[in-house]
Amino acid sequence: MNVFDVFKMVLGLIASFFILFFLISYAGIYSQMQENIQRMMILDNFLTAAEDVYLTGNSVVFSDFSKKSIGLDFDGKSDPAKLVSQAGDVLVRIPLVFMPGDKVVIDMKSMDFGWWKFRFAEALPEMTFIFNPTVNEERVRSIMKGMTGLLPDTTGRAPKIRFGLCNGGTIIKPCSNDFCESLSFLGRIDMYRENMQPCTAVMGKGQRLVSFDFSCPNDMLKKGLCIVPPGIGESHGYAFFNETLGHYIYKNPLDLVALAVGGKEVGLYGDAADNLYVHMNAMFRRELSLVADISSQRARLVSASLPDSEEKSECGLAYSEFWTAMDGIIAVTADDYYTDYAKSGELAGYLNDADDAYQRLVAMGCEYQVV
Amino acid sequence: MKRGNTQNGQSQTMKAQSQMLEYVLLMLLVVGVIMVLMIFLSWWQASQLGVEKAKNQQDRALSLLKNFISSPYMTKENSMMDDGKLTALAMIPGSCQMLEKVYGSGWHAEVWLFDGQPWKSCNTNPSSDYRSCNRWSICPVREGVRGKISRVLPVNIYRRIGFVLPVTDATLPRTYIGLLNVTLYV
Repeated sequence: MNVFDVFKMVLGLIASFFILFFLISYAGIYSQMQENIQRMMILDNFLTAAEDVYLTGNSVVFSDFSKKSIGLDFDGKSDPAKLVSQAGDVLVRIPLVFMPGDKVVIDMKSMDFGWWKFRFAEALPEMTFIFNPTVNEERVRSIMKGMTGLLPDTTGRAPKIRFGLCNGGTIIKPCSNDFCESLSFLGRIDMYRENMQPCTAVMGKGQRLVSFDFSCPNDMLKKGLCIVPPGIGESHGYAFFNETLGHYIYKNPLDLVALAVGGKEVGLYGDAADNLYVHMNAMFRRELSLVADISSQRARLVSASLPDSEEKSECGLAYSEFWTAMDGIIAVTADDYYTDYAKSGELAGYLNDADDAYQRLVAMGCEYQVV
Repeated sequence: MKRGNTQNGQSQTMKAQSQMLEYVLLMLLVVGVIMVLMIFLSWWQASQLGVEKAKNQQDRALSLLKNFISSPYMTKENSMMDDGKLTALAMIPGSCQMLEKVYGSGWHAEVWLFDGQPWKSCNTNPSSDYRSCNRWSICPVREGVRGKISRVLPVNIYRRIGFVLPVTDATLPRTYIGLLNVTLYV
């Protein structure tokens, strides 16, 4: 072996080391990039699926989250809301009730106000809602029905969204000794009319306890959501989680669904329940404010276009009542009304007035039925 | 003999130098191949991202169109625009900003109603022209933007506030054919 052979070996070793080092680094960066691209594609596919469901109403099951760990979180307090992952975030422009899970059922639901329907999408993993009505009155059962009706019916598919009741230490499974699907549970709520004992049963994974009580003691708050039934003739009231989260004002079942779905989960952006509640209210407020503005202006235009006849006087009066209610809604939704009990009640009143005026317009043939 | 040894030594040195050169060239070749491979992979990845971006933009343009034909701010029912709502949008100051908060920004939409009359914009003077106008523009056109994706769809237009019969002033509701044109600026 001469000196050149030694030189070749040394040079070869150094070059090989650098090339190897470079290749390994590049391969690492490349594979990381590919992983992130795949994560972003999953996130993008999910959002596309949610938007399609929101538009068409055709429910789907999304299972791509199980293919790759993406560390998903929902930031409902930013404007617009964001789905945040290890790879990056995507903007959520539709009202979305979302909880992360390997497999989620995506569905579209709506709240009908007579003159307008507020649509929203839900993407939920396997979940069981357990109601504990210690005050089992008609108004409480009505809230239970409202909440159940806003959650997807998952009969014949998975993941399951199911419902049950709790009485003291006993979990009641009303559907042939099993938890019910949404539609089956709706038909069984009125079968249980007794005041139940505060729930002492231990909640399993994915189970959400929703209690109804006038005082909502701390024992109840530790286990889940506690709802104070609304006053007679009212549709809004208070809901509590725990001492630290304070109280929430609900004015429709969707507020309660958002709180119940979030449950006790805590993510990167704080309490999931708080995040969902703020997101849904922000979206509801934005859409309501815009649609009220348009409807008010339109009612004035249509009323002014009516030919001089009996129709003009009858419809004209109903139109003026309708736009008065719309103007009230615009004024209330100018700020964050949903943290103010009095304003929430005021809004509920205007929404009822608007519905009454619109239904009269429909009955008189001056307006079309909203489908 | 000495001279012979010197020549032999020189020949060995040249041979070794040539081997070294071969070796260095080989290494350069290997490094070159690796570099080309890396450049190709990076280019391929960048072009894939470009394709993905273009696909997302196409999807967004389509999604806007789908949203608008079922929008409660513009329609009576699915695929049927409401002239009252469209005119109301033209009359409300800042309606574009409000719509952009719902649907995102960077788009423009137009609705054309085919009633056999000359084209008249409903945005120029909506409070006085709303009964005779037949072309609504939602959010301003952006001049000078080179990248645009447009989607056009035939729609029905529910005429509630405009003239519907040439022989009378009565505002009998009637449905017309029209076009919805959505442009996305990219």
